[in-house]
Amino acid sequence: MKVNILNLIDFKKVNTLLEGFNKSTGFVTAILDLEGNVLSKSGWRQICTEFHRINPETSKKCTISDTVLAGKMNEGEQYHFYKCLNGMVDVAVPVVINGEHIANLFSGQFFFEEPDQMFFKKQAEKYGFDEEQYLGALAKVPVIPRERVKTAMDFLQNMTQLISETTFQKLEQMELNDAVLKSEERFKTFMEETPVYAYIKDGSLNHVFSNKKVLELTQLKQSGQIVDSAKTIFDPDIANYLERADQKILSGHSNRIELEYKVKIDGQDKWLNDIKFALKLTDGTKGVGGLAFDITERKRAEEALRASQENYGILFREMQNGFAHSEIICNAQGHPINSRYLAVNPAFERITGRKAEDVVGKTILEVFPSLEPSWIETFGRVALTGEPAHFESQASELGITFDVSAFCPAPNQYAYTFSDISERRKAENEIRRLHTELEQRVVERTAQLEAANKELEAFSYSVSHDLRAPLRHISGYVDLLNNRFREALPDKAKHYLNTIAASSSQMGTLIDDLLQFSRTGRQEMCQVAMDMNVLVKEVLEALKPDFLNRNISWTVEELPKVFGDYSLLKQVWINLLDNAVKFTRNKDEAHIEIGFTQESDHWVFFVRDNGVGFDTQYAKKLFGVFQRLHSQTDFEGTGIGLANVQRIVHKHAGRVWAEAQPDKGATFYFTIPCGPYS
Amino acid sequence: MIELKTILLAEDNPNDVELTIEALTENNLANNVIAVNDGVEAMEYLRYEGKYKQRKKGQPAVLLLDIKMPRMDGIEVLQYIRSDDQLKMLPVVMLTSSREEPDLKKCYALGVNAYVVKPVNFKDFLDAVKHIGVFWALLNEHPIKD
Repeated sequence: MKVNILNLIDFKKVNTLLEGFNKSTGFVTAILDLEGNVLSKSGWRQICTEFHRINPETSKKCTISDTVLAGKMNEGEQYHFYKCLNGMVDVAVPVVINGEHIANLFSGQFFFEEPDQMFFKKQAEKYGFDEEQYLGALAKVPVIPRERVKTAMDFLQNMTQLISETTFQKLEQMELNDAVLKSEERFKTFMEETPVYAYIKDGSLNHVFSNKKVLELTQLKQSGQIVDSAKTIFDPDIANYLERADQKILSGHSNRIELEYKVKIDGQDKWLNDIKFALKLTDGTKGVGGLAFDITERKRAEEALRASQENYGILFREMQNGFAHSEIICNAQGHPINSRYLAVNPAFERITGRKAEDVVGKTILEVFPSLEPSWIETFGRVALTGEPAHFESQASELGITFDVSAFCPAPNQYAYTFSDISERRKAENEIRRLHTELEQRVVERTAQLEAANKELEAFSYSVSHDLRAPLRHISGYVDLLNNRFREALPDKAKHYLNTIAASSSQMGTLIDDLLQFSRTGRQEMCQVAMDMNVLVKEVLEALKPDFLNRNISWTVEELPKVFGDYSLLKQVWINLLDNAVKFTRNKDEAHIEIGFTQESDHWVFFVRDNGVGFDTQYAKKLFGVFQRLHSQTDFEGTGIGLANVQRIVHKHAGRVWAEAQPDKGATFYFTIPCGPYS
Repeated sequence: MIELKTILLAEDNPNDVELTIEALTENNLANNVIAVNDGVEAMEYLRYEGKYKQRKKGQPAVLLLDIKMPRMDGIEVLQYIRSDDQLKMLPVVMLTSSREEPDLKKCYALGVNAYVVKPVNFKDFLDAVKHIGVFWALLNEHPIKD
């Protein structure tokens, strides 16, 4: 704060003093600031007031004298004599307050010796003063001996010092007041703004101070307002509880009380920690001060921790896995050689059959003397390195295989959970044994199947070779008989011979078809990309001799490419087309259609004829071996062709079926996966 | 007149021997047919061993060889012939009941000259034997001289 110190001086009083001094001594006085402004004066001479300070030029000289000349104080001087520019003697006493030179106290307007009349006459002439009046005023200026002036100046100097000291005290008081004010402001702001509930109550427990936080609890939001009492804020129960505590402090029962309580603020539960203390109020009576902290978060954390600990406690007691906490014991070289149980859970007792009281505090080797060393090695590694471990190990002493998870909760300690996996181990072994057994059985069965297949091959080879030979012989000898002795035979014998020949021929065809069928089953598929059109053309060409003298109209659609076994699919077309030709032979106009459709990812090929057809209820039988729907007399055949078709189509992952009506013709369908040719 | 060369027929079944000879006879090709009962005899004949030690020098124009025979089968005979420096050029025609593909492949792999499945029908059989006889015993020239 920058204070104009001059304002602190009571110039009215100073004037009175200086006027009194002038009356009693005749000395004129004045106080001027450093710029030459007159602050106070008394008894000034006529020559100054009516001449020098009136004429502009002489007045200017006065001002220079009052400021420049007055300021030229010599070292060590307490006051300073000088001759003013208008010829008078003046004395200046500096007014210094708190080290600051702020003004000068003057005396003067006198002479030490009789003045030079000539100098003043010239002055009158120069500045246009009335000489007679000017000189008259000069005559009124006293001539004073130096001793008398000195006495007066000592008095004035003392008076100046007194004024300085008084003013300085005033200044100090002002600054002190200001500091106190600031400090109070600071503390008030601090208390207002602190995020803690702060309050002061008087002896009647009415609030005399409530900070913003407290006001927030009420409808009173404006700073400076005051809450009446706890009852304004809280439920009666809490308010009473708080007032009982306040009363204890007022009654001197205790000086400081700390409370923790739960209140509802804006509909939410809040925990407060309230510290109340005895306080002497400004009027000297006893009051209660208090600071309440919102500890809701801390309380929640504590509650969560407590719940968590409770949960862990339940887990520890109720978990099915065994749990143990131990500290490792090392030898002088720092190698783990043993460990000591710190805690075990009920499952530990149940699984190991050892009571907790017989285990906790004991070493692991005391509890299990013949424990495998690998256990302590592993636990030691966990406790010393902090690396967790998961392992399976046997405790032969207990006859149990354990699954163990160990970790390091603190240096040189380990804790582990474990479960008895003996049963699981047994089951796994059993599964492994069964698996091996199954594999063995598969190997055996495969070998059996391979053997059976070999036998079948040998059988069919034998059929091929040995069954055909006698047939050939029958046919051969019948022919020879016919060729050489036919004439000698009666007609009946000729008929018999014909029958023998036809039967052996039929049997030959049967054998050939059966062998073909058997081969189809065993044959390895050799699938290639192939054009069905080429295949069908080839088959039709081969069958041509069978329908040379027939009236057949063919409709052959352009067919798609497929992926399949050429020779096997050829068999399919041969059988189906041969059938179509065969079963239409009673028609004057036979019609055979070859076509296809697409059904999702399969091609559906079909052969449709207008032949004798068959009753659909027997459709399924058609594809069985030796199954025939027509008599040998009407239509010759072995009953193997369609069985062979079905076998081949199945090998291609397709289906085969037929639709027909008696005398209306038949349609045979087979499907082949589109594969890459969709 | 063209001289008929010898045909060696290895066939264990007497019926087949008779029918084959009948077939050859029908075509006047049966003059010089030697029939042996199995592979062992066939090899003895070709190597002048056993009861054929003293036989007249000279190898047949063709060997008609059945596959399924006791003691040594036709495929074994073919194998011996093809690995015998003296015999490996001998024309061998398999004359068999077996249509089985493995047999066919095996024989061709061993270097058979022809593979004929005996037709069940006697007329066809006659035709087949006639063709074989005419071709191998009359028309075909081959480097083996006695």
